[in-house]
Amino acid sequence: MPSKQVTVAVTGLNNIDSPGPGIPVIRGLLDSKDYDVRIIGLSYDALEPGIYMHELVDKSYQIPLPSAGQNSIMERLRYINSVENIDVIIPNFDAELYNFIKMAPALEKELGIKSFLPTMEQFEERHKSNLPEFGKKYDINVPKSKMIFSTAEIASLTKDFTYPLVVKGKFYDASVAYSPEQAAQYFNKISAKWGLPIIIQQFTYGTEVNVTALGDGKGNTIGAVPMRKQVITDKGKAWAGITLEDEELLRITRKLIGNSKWRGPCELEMIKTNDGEYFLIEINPRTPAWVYLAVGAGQNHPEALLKLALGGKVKPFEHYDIGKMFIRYSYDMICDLKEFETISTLGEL
Amino acid sequence: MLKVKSPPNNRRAFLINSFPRNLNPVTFSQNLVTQVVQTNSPLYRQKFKSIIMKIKKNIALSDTGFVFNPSTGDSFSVNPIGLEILRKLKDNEPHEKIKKHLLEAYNTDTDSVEKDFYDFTKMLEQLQLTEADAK
Repeated sequence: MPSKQVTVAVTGLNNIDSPGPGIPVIRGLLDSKDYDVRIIGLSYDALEPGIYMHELVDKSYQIPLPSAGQNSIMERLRYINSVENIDVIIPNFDAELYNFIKMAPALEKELGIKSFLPTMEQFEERHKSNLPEFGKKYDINVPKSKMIFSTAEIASLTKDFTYPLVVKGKFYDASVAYSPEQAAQYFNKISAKWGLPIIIQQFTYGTEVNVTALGDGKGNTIGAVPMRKQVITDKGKAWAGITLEDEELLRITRKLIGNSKWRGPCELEMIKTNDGEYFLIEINPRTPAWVYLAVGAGQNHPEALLKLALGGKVKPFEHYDIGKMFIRYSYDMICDLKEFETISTLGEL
Repeated sequence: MLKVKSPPNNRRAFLINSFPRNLNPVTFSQNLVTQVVQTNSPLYRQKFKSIIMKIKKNIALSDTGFVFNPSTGDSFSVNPIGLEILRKLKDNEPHEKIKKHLLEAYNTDTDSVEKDFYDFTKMLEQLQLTEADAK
């Protein structure tokens, strides 16, 4: 029976076809054997499904978008904390991490809200645009990539790249282009949504494998579970996946976390070529949306993250179940208009 | 008499290179067996052993014929005869012994067994279920 009561604020309640990690993180926290967790959901949109999942989220509050700036977010969190007395905050979006990393000392000092996030240096150096340098620094294979700021630069890409190549947004979205025309098309589409720069990456043939991992900031890997996507949505998100037995992938993960002293959760996106070589294509500095698979396989990363945030000592996980699967499904919740009205007008539910 | 080279690092290449293009690989391996017996040479035994297909140790086989490769996450289904062959391959039984067993246990002929066995083992190789693909 969990004994210690904690209040945890979690973002990423958009449990949609391209889901945020909030709900899986919450499920992991609620599975905790050590903590009795009260969940405060932080949302950006009144239609994020997690707001209405009352069996998982005790209370939800709207918060300003990251673009509103740290002062606005801090002000809102002051109010929420005055009502809820939050112990730990777990931000789950790439786009909000910059603000939360910057605000972390003030949040803890002023409001007593703890977090366990990557350092600003770690956050910056693993950016898609910095990935080649990151690969060099930590001795990890990374496909050739380049930042571009205009479609005019596409014509000259053939000097360094061969088609197909991957056109990526700075935060999200990636498309494989087989010609300069396609590359220009994806450039416009992705930059309109996520801004500049656009990252061009050499396409690597092979199988995509991912790892969800947690570092303690001292070079230790607290947990790591590799997964292969079995069903992929049109947005490239996993709709089903399976845990793998892949010692080499775990070795690379431990090496990366050890060398970079990674602090907090992360997801490594890798390509395993037919020759058995691994290429790092992306590091997400937060928990992936499929993290509940790790919980199901025996490594409760959200709970371990909570313990780390609270300053506890966490023993690294040594095992996970191989061949454990997750399969997502869509589900229509029936909600009262009154609830939608409340969150839309009062900003809390 | 066959000239045996030292075992190369890439065992997959060794498998392919070992078979002359105009010769049925299974027949060729049969020839090898004969010569191993004739010469009783440890070197021949070593070469013969190296072309025996080994199923990866971590491949999981269930009684229902469900095959799971934990390294790739791939899963397959085989029929009861396929399962029988896979189990024997996993136990490192020589191909000749397996084929002999199939001939005795089922109403079939040598040519069909050799052709189907060859197709099946090649498929196992392509699906990365064999040690030759292990990295």
